[in-house]
Amino acid sequence: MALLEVRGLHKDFGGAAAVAGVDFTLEAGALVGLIGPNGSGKTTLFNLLSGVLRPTRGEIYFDGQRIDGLSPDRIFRLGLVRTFQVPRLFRHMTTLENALLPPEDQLGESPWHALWPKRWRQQELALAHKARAVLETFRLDHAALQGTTELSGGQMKLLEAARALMGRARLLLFDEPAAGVAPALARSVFDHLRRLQRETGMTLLVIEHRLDVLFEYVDDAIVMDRGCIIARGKPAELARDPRVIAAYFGGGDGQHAGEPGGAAGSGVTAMG
Amino acid sequence: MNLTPLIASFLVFYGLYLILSLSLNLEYGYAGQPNFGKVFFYSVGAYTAGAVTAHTLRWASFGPMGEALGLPPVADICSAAAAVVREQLAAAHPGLMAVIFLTSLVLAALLGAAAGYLLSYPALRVREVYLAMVLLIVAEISRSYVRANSAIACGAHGLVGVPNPLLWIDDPGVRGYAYAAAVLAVAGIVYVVAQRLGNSPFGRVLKAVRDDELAAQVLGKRVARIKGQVMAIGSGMAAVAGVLYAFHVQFVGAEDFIPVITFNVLAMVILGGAANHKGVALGALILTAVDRMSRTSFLALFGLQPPFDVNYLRYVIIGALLVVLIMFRPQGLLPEGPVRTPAVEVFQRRGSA
Repeated sequence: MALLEVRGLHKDFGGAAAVAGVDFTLEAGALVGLIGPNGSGKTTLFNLLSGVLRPTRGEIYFDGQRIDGLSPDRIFRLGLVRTFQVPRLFRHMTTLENALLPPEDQLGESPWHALWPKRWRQQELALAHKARAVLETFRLDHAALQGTTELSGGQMKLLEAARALMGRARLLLFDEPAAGVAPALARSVFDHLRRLQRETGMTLLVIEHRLDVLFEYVDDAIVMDRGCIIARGKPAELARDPRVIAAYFGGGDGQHAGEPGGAAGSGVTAMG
Repeated sequence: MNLTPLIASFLVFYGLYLILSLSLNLEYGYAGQPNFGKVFFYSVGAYTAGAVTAHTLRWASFGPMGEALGLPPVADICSAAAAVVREQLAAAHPGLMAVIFLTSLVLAALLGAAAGYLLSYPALRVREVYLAMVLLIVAEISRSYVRANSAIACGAHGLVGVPNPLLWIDDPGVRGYAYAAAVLAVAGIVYVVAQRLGNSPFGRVLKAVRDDELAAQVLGKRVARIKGQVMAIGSGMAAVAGVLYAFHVQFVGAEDFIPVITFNVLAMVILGGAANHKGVALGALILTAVDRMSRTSFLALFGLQPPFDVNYLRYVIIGALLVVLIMFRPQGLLPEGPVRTPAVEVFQRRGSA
């Protein structure tokens, strides 16, 4: 059974359809890309999946359970975790505090238990060690005790990703995890995501504009344009797909759509 | 010149304002919920103390305790005669007064917490500015309501004669200091509670809700429950302060609970440093001093009789302090620090190694 199943999903903003009839499934353990030009509805789709927005129509099933209409915190606790394109860090808190927030079932989050530090000390130390490992992966460990306002834009992006990995996710939705991150580090972010997928069986759906990087890592990718899924397939197929090329490079007038591979196909490569 | 009552009273008011400002610091400094109805929860505590005291001592006046002292049974708790009976009973029965005092504290904490939890509901519906207005209005409506209803705190007259639980101590100086010590002890407990809550995963969640409510929710935090919890805790603390206030001034009346108290407390939090309990303790100290010293009765002790109403001077001083603060140190005297949990040690040890 698919881990995520989306049926006939619509989201209208005052008559304008941001997501206009989306159907797809994600198999457990897959690493899937989500691509499409700006404004094609990718982030709106993430907002619908994570409960930030309610769909106008349509259904979302996560692990067999219907989740459209549930609150974002319930969806998180079911194991569906997302990041934001523009990092939404807790500004007046440290890197470490940001990383320590997401884990569930923290005893010290209950005000009663918070009064007795001995009760939650061991759990807090265990989480701190987990946080150290995650922050090291993203080279944020040295900034752990700094405020997030001291981080660079790229580091903020990395912290947004690191924070998502601190929860007990089964499906992670990453919104451009490597945007604004130095190229070498961007690859190591993707290396880490792939390692997560292979070692823990986590399922990932990743929005990324740098197709050269994305296509190296994903099993397959979903292409959106104007609120609809226009294609889905292996990276090699998509790079040659005229509809994809038209959506990304052709200005949408369909002129390039009929042209086989050739010039436009090299365009995808040139994009990298 | 006998300064004892003055010093004792200063210490009591410092303790009261410390409790109130610590409670607002949790709600506003940590969780970002501007509880502009703080004085309402303070008044809930005072009304509770008044009701528990008046009804328990009325009941006592019918029994052997009243007979032994030759006191008439109390018919109307709001009468002047009843106030006299209460004082005599209180002076003769320290044990009974201790029970009344402790019962009032516990009951007020529970009632205050319940009221705070219920009034966290608008915090889920409206943004901060509107929440501030809603709570401010709740406090004002409750003041008008109590003033017009003799069932609570004897309406417009107020309940006179809420005897101090230490009335059995004959020397008024010793009594004053002893009560101040009791108030400061309670304030000390509240301080420890606030520090522990602030430096825990709970404190971390509060700050997360303050900084970005949606992000906290997307990361699995039940924002509605958290707002309810912090409003319940803060309001329970404020109600405890209300009990201590009632037994200090030995009077409960709706007209004492005006919005200025809320704003004084808010000024203490902002001056000392929001989300820093130590800073708030400092802010409370400075503004309690301003509050107590800018009174005609205080200046008269030193033979000063200013030709204007000093009450207005107080607001000018507080206003000027806040303006200077916003200009030169907007984060407050002691700025917000990180949440100190054992997790920090893991990274510090590493740094030094």
